[in-house]
Amino acid sequence: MNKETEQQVEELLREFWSTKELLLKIGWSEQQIEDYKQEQIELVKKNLLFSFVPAFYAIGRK
Amino acid sequence: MIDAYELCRYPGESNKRGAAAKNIMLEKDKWTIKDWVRRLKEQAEETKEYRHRLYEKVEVKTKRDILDAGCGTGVITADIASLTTGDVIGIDIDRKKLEQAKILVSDSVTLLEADVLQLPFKDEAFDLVIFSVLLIYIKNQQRAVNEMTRVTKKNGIVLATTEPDYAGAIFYPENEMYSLFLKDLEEMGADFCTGRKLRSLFSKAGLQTEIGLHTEYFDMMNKDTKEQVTLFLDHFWFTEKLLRKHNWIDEEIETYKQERVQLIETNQLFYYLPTFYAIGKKCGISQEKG
Repeated sequence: MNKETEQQVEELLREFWSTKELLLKIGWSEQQIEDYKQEQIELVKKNLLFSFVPAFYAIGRK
Repeated sequence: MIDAYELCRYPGESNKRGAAAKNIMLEKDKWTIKDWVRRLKEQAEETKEYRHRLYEKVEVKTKRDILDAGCGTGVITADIASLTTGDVIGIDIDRKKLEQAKILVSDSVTLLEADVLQLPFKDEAFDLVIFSVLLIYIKNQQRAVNEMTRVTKKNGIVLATTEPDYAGAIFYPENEMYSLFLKDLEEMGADFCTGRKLRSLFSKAGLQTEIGLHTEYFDMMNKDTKEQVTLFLDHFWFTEKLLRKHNWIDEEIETYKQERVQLIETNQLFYYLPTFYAIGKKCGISQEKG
């Protein structure tokens, strides 16, 4: 695992608390959440994950 | 006489517009090889700036053996060949497009009729394998990327310059023409999610991958309004052909054109097509079977 991938895994783990809260809220068990987390880590490690949210800005001059 | 006409309605399609229109398409409205040449030339022109940045990034001019996979009518192949003294080979499965490519490219370029799923080259034959808007039309995309990786030398590069993700496109206000365009693409077997798969396809092929986003179509919205209208009108022939195929009559087409011009002139049009590139370096890692 190279340094960039390591950083991506760290980021995923750091921010996973919010995902966990969401999954608990919709009724997932601790085991299901752990399995999901491991799957995601595996995908990150293999560079197979792709995430893209279009976000735009606008500058308006009067 | 019947040869001059062709049924053009999709099975079961309810045509909101042009209900009174004829169900046949005139010979002049059919999509021909000349249209392909024109369309691919326009697309190459639109993407030129971005492609050239990528060519610089992968140092095209220092590469000895280059393959342009799915070279089509050769407009991009000629572009690549003009940047290097290396040997450029273009392959395509479509003989008609290759015949057009022969007219366009210089004698130094070799053109071959070949399938990207079964390339007629030995392992590690090329320093650089380039393709543009190719995977979208291929059913077994992983096999294609694996095959291109196979013919790439160790430390060589596989470069996908442009792969769109039509499923992620945004139109505002809604554009009726776009759904017709997608129907046509679907008929050609296009995969609307190709852009998002690019990283995974390259990584599974064992390539060390960098992925990025093109914004040329998006940037067009920030150009001068007059320039946008001119560009729209210059490219309208393609839209017109598409609309005629779907039974739109002259009056409807003209109304649609004027509506779009109006939207452009008042800066109300929003169009976003996520288009990605990928640079994959072959480092000798094993690949998954396609």
